[in-house]
Amino acid sequence: MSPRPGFDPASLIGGLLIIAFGTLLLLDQAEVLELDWDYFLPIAFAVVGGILLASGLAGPPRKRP
Amino acid sequence: MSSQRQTWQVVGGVVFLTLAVLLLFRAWGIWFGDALVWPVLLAGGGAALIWRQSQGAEMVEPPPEARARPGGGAGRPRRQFRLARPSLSLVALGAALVIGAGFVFLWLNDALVAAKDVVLAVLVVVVALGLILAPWWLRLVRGLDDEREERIRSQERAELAAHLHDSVLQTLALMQKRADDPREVATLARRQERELRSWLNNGAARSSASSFAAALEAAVAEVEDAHGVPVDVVAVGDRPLDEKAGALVAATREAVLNAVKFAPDAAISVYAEVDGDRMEVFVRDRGPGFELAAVPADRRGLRESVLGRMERHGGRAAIHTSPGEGTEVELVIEP
Repeated sequence: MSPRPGFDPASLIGGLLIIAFGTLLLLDQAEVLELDWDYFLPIAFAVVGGILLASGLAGPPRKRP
Repeated sequence: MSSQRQTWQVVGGVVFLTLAVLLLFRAWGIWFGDALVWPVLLAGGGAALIWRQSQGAEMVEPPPEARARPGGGAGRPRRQFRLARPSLSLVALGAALVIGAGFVFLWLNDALVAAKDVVLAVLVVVVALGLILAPWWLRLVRGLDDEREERIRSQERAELAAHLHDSVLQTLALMQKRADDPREVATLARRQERELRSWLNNGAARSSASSFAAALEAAVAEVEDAHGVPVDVVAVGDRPLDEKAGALVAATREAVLNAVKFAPDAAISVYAEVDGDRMEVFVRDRGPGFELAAVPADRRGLRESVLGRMERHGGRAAIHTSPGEGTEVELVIEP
């Protein structure tokens, strides 16, 4: 099964990472968990690194025919 | 360009993920100390950059003249590594990272405290010397620039003078000798004008053996010189001189020849335009014109050399004329 035209895996991974990051920040605000600076910075770096890595490995987005 | 961007994205991603992992380890207390880890990380990044770029270096042989010995003969060939310009800047960045890592390591381990006084003293001396010597240095740099500009100007003047002597002055001397022959004088002036225009437009770089526009101008110039009748040529665009373009040049030459024969005192012009594989040429004269139907069947100039030649090479030709209206020969070759 080939991916549908216009599908961009890098965007999907980037979106998921940002959603996960946002969820963590929301949980921190709701005081479900405590996110201090020692953990916030590595998580932010991991999100940025994950997006960059996904974009670099996925290549340019497919063009619609 | 796109693959280079992806490479940098992967590199950036790996760097950020490595930083994230290191910061997590630091937060958990699994850590060798800031004074060791950060300098090692910086130095590792710089070394990786240098290592990566050194793999792209190409080995070059020096040119023979660089190997020649003063006494004659060639010296032993010495191979050199050469880096492309973007690689050089990346190598410099890598070197700066490694050196910076060294300084960070020394600073974090308090090893620079002893050297601080010496560095400060050297810095003060350097700044003081810079302030004192700056005016002389600036004057020296400006003087060198002025001298270089003057040398370039002088070379250009000498080149221009040599060209004017070889072309315009020689032609003027020849025209003075032939002052009693107005036709010859006009031909000489026309030839000189053409040569000067070509020189001004850097036309000398084109060869009539390989360029359509140059071949067209050469063919028209030949007719001009042979008959002493001026013909204006404007060529827009150019292409290599292949078989079709050669046929178009030959047909144009014939059309110009006809115009020169039958309208020697009228203004004659040639306009050529090249757009990819499409070439078209218009030969116009404001001469007496003629009745196309009245041209005798044995007149092979127009019929064979122009119309027939164009058809044989997949092109077409049309003649627009009527008595008293001048003549326009349209020659087109389409892909």
